[in-house]
Formats: sequence, C-alpha cells, structure tokens
Amino acid sequence: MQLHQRTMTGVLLALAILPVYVVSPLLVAGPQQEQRIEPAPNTTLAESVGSSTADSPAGNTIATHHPPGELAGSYTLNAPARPGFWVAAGFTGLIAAALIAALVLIRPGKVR
Amino acid sequence: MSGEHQSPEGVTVDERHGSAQKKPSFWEERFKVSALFYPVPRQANTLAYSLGGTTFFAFLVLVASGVILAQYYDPRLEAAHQSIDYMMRESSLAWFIRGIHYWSAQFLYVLLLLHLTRVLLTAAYKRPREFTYYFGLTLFLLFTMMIFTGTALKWDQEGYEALEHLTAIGTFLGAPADLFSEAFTESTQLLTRVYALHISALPLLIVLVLAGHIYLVKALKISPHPLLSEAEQDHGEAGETFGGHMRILLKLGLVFLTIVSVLALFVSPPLGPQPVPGESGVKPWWMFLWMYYAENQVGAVSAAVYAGAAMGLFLAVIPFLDRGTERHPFGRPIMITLLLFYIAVIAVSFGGYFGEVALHLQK
Repeated sequence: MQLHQRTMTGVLLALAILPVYVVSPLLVAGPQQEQRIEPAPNTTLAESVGSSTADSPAGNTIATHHPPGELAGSYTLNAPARPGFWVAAGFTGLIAAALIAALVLIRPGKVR
Repeated sequence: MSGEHQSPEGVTVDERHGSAQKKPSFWEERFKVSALFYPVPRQANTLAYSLGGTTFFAFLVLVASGVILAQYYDPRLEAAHQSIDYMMRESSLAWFIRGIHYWSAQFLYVLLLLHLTRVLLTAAYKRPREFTYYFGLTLFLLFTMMIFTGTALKWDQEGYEALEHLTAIGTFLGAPADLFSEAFTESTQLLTRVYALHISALPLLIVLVLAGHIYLVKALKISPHPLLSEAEQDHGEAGETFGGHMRILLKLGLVFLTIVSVLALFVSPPLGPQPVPGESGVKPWWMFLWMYYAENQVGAVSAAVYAGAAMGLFLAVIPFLDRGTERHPFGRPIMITLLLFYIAVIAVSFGGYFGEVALHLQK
C-alpha cells in the first residue's frame, strides 16, 4: 500500500470513528434501567400463554380458538426507543466508510 | 520506505537491488499469505460465483450478533417475550443487534436462493460435484430450520404458532420427531429446547456440513463455465487468483453489512404482543409462504410436510435427471422443468401472501 493510500485510509477511518466517540457519549449517557424480568416457576406452553394474557397489551381473554386473521393484524410493535441510536449510526458509518475504502483501495489481486 | 513496493501477494520488492532480490513482508513471513494467491478460473471471481462466500459471511454476522443476543434473551416461556421487549425498548443497542440479526437472516436466505439458482443454471451439480450439491442442499435445509426456530423464539403470536406447528409436525411424523413434543420431557420447556437447538445443535451441524461443502469446492475446483466449450475453459491462465476472490468477498461482505446495518437502524424487526392461546392463522415469513399456501389448500399441517418433502425430493433428484455433459442452460431440457418449478413456487408464495387466512392446526 502506498503512502497516499495509507493516508486516505486513515482519514476515512478517522472520519467514521470520530462521530462515534465525540457525539455518542452525549446522547446515550444515563443509567441503565434494571431489567424487569421476574423469576417464575417452570410452566408449560399452555400455562404460560394463559397466564400472560392478563398482561397482554391487547387485553385478550383466554380462548381456545380465534376467528381467522383476528390476531394476524396485531403485528405492530410499539415504536422502539432505540437507546444508543447514534452509536449504532456511528457503527453503520464506520462500516460504510470501510466499504468505500475497500472499494477504492483494494486491488483485484491477479497473478502478475 | 522509498524504492520499495508490495506485490499483490504481499512480497516487498526492493527496486534498488533489482527484481531478483525480494524481502518478504511482515505478513508474508509469518502467515504465508502468498499461498492464497493460487490461480482460479476466471468465472470464480465474478459476482455470480461469489454468492456462496457472501452467504458464509452472512452466517458469520449471524453468529456474532446471535452471541450478543444470547446475553439478553431468556428462553423460558414466561420470560421470553419480555426479554425481547426489554432489548427493543430499554437496553442500549440490543435493538440494533437484533435488527442486524433479523436482517442478516433475511438476506442470508435471499443469498442462499440466488446461490442455488446459480448452481442450477450452470449445472454445477453434475459429476463429479454431486456431493458438493448435496452438502449445499443440506445447508439449505439447516438454514431453513434455523430461521423457523428463530421465529418461534420471539414468542409473540407468530412465534407461538410457529412452535405449535413444530409440535403438530412432530405429532404427524410420529416417533422420530418426538423430540419436538412437549411430552418428551417435563423438566425443560419446549421453547427452551428449541432455543438450545437454535444456538447449539443447528449451528454446529451447519459448521460441519459447511466444512464438507468448502472442502469439496476446493478439492474438485469450481465447475466449468457453462457457456464455454472444454477447449475455451479458463484454468487460471487469465490471472485470477483465490486471493482476488477473497478480496471480492471482503467487498461484498462490507456491502452486506452496510445494508443490514442501515436497515437495522431504521426498520425494527416486528414483535407482536404476548401470544394468546389458540390459532389465529398468523402468516409466516416469506420463505415459508408456499408451505403455508399448501396448508391452506388442504387444511392440515401435514400438507406443509408433504410440500417440503416434495421440494427436497425434487431438488435431490436433479443430478440423477440431468446426467449428460451439456452445461449450457438452453441445451438442457431440465431447465424448462426448473423454470416451471420456480414460477410455481413464486406464484404459490404470492397465493399464500395474498390469500385468506385459514386455520389448520386443529386437523
């Protein structure tokens, strides 16, 4: 790799990494919330589903049968909060920069 | 270091002393990277022949992201959904890793289908590469099982019904599939066992079969170019090398990772509410829609088993049906059968997607 190629690689990587380290701590700072999962006794599939319906966001009652498609349409998750979004964005930028660097710098590798 | 430059093979050439004196680079001296730069046929370094390697890269991304997700996921029935909800809403970055895992699985399956299509188009299954093909088909089955078990783990209505299907299929198949019944053991929940399958047995099998697949590709070499005669085939004279292939895979891998990262950033994988008992006929992921359609038509889970078996059998007999030396797609009668097969699967999948929801677990 020649000198200007190394410099270019360095600049591209620096451009990608900088936002991650400079911006992300400002955005993702804050204590992590404690996980809410409570230990529960071992249950069977049917018991678990039955016990979970009381807390179900849809407030479904326990039944053995549902009209076709009744639940199929309920596939929208509440919008995720995406904590650490800018770190993820920085990672994506880093990968994209690595891709650009690879496309620019990596030669075919033929036999000479 | 003026007066020096590196060859593609990693050997530093000192121009001041002429071309006769070569000083191995750091990497060459320690890892013998030049050994990777052996000649390969020209077609090996094209996009169509790099789909398998890119699929392998996708598998590595899935393993890496899966290891991280395993730190968050709780495979007990009473906690599974909540642990994913926690990932998606409270834990820093776990939502992003889940997004990468989800989108990588989607694209891996697309890459698998494209790779299989390339193999069928170029007759790469022909003698002596039948077992390279069968190893590949086994991988196809294993990855399908990985995706199926993965959909159950999220434990919303879709996951619940996926697990119910697994149980129903197990009941239909009888003794050999008892492993997938709830009654097999009372000590461990079925979801936990499916999780164990998803993160241990299936990946291990994939690695073993993949090792065999890659070994045969290396030992038997890339299949001939289907559009060229024997005399016109390139055996490395064009200067293409395996090192060049690795470089193409690196670029394609980065393209893959960029796409899944962007999607993970903005399009979260679906997660429905906690499941409720009973069947609602939630439609499965796109790769299972053709089986879903079959179930809907017959009205029983057994139809999916028969449809899957028919698909597997059809793909498995292709090397027996097409045994001639002709490799050109237009010169092989089986291509018409394959074309009809592809049209049928796509049409039936659309039928499953747009068709009405039907219930079939009770039968």
